[in-house]
Amino acid sequence: MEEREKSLAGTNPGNGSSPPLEQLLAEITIDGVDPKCSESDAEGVVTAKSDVLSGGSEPYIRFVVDEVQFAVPLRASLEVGRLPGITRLPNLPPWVSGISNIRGDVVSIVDLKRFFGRSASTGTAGGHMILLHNDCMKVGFRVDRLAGIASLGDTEANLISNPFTKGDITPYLAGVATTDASLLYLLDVELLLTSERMNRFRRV
Amino acid sequence: MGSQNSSIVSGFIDEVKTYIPSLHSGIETLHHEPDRSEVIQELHRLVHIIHGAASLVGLISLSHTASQMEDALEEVMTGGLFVNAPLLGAMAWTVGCFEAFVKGEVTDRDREVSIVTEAVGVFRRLRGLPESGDEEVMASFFDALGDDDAEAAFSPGFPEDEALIVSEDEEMALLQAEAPLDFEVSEGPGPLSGADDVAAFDPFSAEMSELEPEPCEEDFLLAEAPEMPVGEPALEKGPSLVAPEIIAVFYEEVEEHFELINRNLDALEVRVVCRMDIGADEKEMIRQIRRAVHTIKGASSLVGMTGLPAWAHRVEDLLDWLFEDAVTLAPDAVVALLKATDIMALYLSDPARVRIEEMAELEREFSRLTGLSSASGDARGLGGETVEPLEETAGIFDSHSRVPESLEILEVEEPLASPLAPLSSGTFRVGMEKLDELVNLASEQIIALSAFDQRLDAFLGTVAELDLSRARLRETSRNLEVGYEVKAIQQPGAAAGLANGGGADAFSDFDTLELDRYSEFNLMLRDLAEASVDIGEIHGVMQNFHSDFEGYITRQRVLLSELQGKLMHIRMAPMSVVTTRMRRAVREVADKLGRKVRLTIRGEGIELDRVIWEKLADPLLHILRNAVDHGIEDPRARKEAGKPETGVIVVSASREGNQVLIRIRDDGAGLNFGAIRQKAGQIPGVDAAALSDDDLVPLIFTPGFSSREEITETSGRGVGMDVVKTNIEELKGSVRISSPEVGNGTVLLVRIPLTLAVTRAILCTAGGQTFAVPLNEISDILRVYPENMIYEPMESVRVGDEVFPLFHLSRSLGLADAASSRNGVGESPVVLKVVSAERTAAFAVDTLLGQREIVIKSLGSHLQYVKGISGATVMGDGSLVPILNVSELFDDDAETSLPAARTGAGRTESPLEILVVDDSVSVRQVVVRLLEEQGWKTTSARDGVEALEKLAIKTPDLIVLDVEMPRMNGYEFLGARRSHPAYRHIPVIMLTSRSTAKYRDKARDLGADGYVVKPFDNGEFLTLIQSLTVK
Repeated sequence: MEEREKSLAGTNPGNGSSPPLEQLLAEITIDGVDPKCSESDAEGVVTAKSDVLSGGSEPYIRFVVDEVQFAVPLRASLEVGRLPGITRLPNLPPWVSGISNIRGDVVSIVDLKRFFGRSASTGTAGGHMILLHNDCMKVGFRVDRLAGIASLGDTEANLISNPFTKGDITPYLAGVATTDASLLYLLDVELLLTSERMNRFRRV
Repeated sequence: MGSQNSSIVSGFIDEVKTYIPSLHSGIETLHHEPDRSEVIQELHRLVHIIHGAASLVGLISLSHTASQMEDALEEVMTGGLFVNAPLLGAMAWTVGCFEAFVKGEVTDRDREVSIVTEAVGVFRRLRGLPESGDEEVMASFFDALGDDDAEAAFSPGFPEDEALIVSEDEEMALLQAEAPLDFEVSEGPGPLSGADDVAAFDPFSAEMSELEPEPCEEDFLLAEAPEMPVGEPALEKGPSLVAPEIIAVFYEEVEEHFELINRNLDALEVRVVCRMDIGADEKEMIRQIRRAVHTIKGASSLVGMTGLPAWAHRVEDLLDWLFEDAVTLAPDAVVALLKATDIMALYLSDPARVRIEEMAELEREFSRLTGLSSASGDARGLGGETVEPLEETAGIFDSHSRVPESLEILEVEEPLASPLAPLSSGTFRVGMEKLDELVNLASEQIIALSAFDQRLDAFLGTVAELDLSRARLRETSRNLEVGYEVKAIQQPGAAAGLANGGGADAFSDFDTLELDRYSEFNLMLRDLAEASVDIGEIHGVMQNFHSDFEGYITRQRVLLSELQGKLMHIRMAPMSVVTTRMRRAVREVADKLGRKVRLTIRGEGIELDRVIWEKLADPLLHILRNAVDHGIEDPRARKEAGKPETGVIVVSASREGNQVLIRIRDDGAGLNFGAIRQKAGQIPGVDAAALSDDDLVPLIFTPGFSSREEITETSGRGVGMDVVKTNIEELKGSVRISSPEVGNGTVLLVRIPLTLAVTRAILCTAGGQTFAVPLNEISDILRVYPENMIYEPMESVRVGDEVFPLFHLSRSLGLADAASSRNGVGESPVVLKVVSAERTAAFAVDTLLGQREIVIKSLGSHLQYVKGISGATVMGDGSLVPILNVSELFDDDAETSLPAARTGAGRTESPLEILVVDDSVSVRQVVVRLLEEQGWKTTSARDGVEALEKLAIKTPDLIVLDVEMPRMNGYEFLGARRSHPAYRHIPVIMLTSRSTAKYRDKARDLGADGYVVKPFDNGEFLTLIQSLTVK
């Protein structure tokens, strides 16, 4: 019953018409699927928040792909949320899920798990999306879970190692940070969006 | 000053005179209300005009005086300076100086210098600027003044006959009397008679002596003077001094006038085919042209141009003569006018291309025309060797050649229209991208409205549910009332005991039925009954709200689609935006090649997206140039062929359904099939001799094809028709060429869709997905019956005598394997027949959903190009539908290169669909939310009956079912499901609060696949769903 009430509370965010990003993230995390990590994540959000407030370091959005924690700079992302409805297109590699209508814009959705050479996102996984952008591109990335906001300073170790045994993603990594005894892989959005794979659909 | 155009100066002076009262009254107003910002702005505007225009016409002192006041006002506007008595005093004094200037009271150099010095000093002190800067300001003044003197130094070089002619011109004298022009440089009492004009120019030496008090300036002037180019009028530095927004307004205004000129000239060109008497209509046209030319002249000189006003002036002379003196009008006069206005246009678009020789020649033509039928001759100084004092050519012509020009300009002119007066057209320029944003917002709004509409439907469903609950509540309350209230009354002792607290039976003489007694129970019953009535009322109000909302939404939808339509329409422009260019191109080529051509344009009002016109202009111009070059023969050949000397090219535009049809027909020699055939023979792989004439025609559009042997500027380079074709096809249009009969012209048909943003499309499904196919890519929609199918060697369709290959759209798109696509389209599939230049084919689709207008959007910044997909469109519910580019699907390898594995991946990616059946709204919400978080799709039903209805519409992958529900409970539903073969395989999970084994066993007996007791564990519940849906 308790579980149900919690979910119910989640259905009515009604007190504010558009909650700020952190609040949204926190909410998504709290009413998240996996009870065992939602607790720790919720704590993570709280600490992250206070970090943001104290200033001095850059806020990152944390997310999970195939049980590996990643983070991207908040400034590189336009919005986060649940995965919108996707329209599939023919003649595309499997890692492009299709296109979505996000606030009137047609945006392509890339399955990050598949892009990293893992198996396709299905079912419970891949239910969320982060919209990343640079100067010339705007792409929605499908991720397993959003895990709140973390604030990271420059002091983090820049040790780069591949988090997956299969599929090399080191070209897209900016570094690795340690938080709460777990590793946080920082994605370099610019490298990701300017990579050859992402740019193979340019008009010739 | 010597090179100044005195008529312009007089126009300027008149203009300034009109400003002075406004300036005075403005200053007066500020005395009383120093905070009236609009007054300050107006003052600033007027002073700015005086400052700019004065420097243009060479009244340097006036300009510098005004500039000081302008700077001060600017500071007031930015808040750096406050309006106070000293400032107002200074301004009033300055305006007084303006007045003195324009009345010609300031006649000597000392006075001028002292005014400027005073103005500089006063305003700079008021603005709190240091005295040390004054010198710098004054230096720049003397600088400007010095240039002017240098100009003046050449004036004595004017030959004497100038004075003679001027003195003959009485009008000139009048003008001079009215507006003394040369006060700046003239000595003595001021030039009150025209005969003094030349003498009024000061000798250079006289200026020098006046300037002696500033010895530092002297050296400068001496050094500077000899270097001044002869023909360089001070006016040339004009444009930089005029505010850019004024220039913009000027171009806009001038464009309108050119349109008017062209319209009238075109009409004249059509009317005047031989020498004819000038009737009232012609006179009116000439008058309109003259007025427009005059306005252009005035406006252009005020923005600081020199060449254009001078030239326009000459054109105006011809027009004056045509309007006032001429009795007959010949085609050559019209041609001369056309060429002359072309040159005017050239001054604006590309001044570097203005050719002196051409102008000189035209002027000879002018004087020939005016001399021909006018005995009065050209005493007015028209013609001769008069040449435009262009910047580029200034050095070429000595001062003598300039004489007639400067003298001619001294002629009478109406006061100039102020270019700053508000334009009456009331148009407003807006960037294209801003308009696009608006269009996008409007479409966005329509989509948002649809979403609202859908939610409103859901709201209605909830209201209906509320009604159901109310009915239940009322039923219960009535049952209670009937069943228990009466019982309570029948026990008077107990009831009385409750009501009176066991007191004396004061009402014992009443029968129990005569006096109602109320216990708390009775009161609660009443409350309950009232509450149910209240809920009923609320339900009614909500229903009313709903229908109100519906009404508003409908209205809003109508308004929005109207808005969208109007916004789209703003982008539209009539063909007349390109016709000027078309006429000019034809004239240019015809002139160059010595052909006589008349271009007739019909349907100028036909509208297309402005962007399309811009992109279409080049191909159209190319076609026209081709028509003149290849089509129209030279006059001699035409005569021999028995045609009139003047060839005719007709461009006619018309609207056909969703397209605009542009027909370009010439009456020339037609296509030279001999030459084309010969050239075609050189293309490898083409057997030219075997081709019929009709087959040869498309070859014209092949790259590098030109039947011309020699390459000329006009044609023969072989880049041409293929580019025309590519450009037009880029606009989703088509071009066809035909030559109806040999020797009798060529017809080109250009078809262009009305707009690029919206198109009509067929919506169809293939492989379970919806696609849009633009209607212009489909030639037919057919249903193919098995007897018309051919399976070997490849799947084809026979329609009549025609056989063309059949593709399955789902397979071409890699969405399905062969077997399922055949199942999808059925035995007698619907096919879309597509005809392109290269081939014809049919695409079988699963179903047709209908035809509709779609807004074309790109696939976003990431997927710029996807093979076979040209874009996407947004449906009313916000979902996206890909737009197919069918011609790219022709490629045979499309079918083979797409592995079947794609299909498998595609299927698992499609989300699970789950039907949730529960009578409790909150349970449904919780479950639906949980499931949708997984990316699954859900539908809900309130009870078994509704669930069966939902099943009939769509078969879900799984059903979540409650046990206790109204109308049909869970067990009954399970029974119904079992008896229905189509539903039997759908897994069912019971979700109930009944935990006893009895219920569980019953469910299992009836065929439920899972049993979950509320409250449940999310993880376990989801795992169960996944395990049941894995096939």
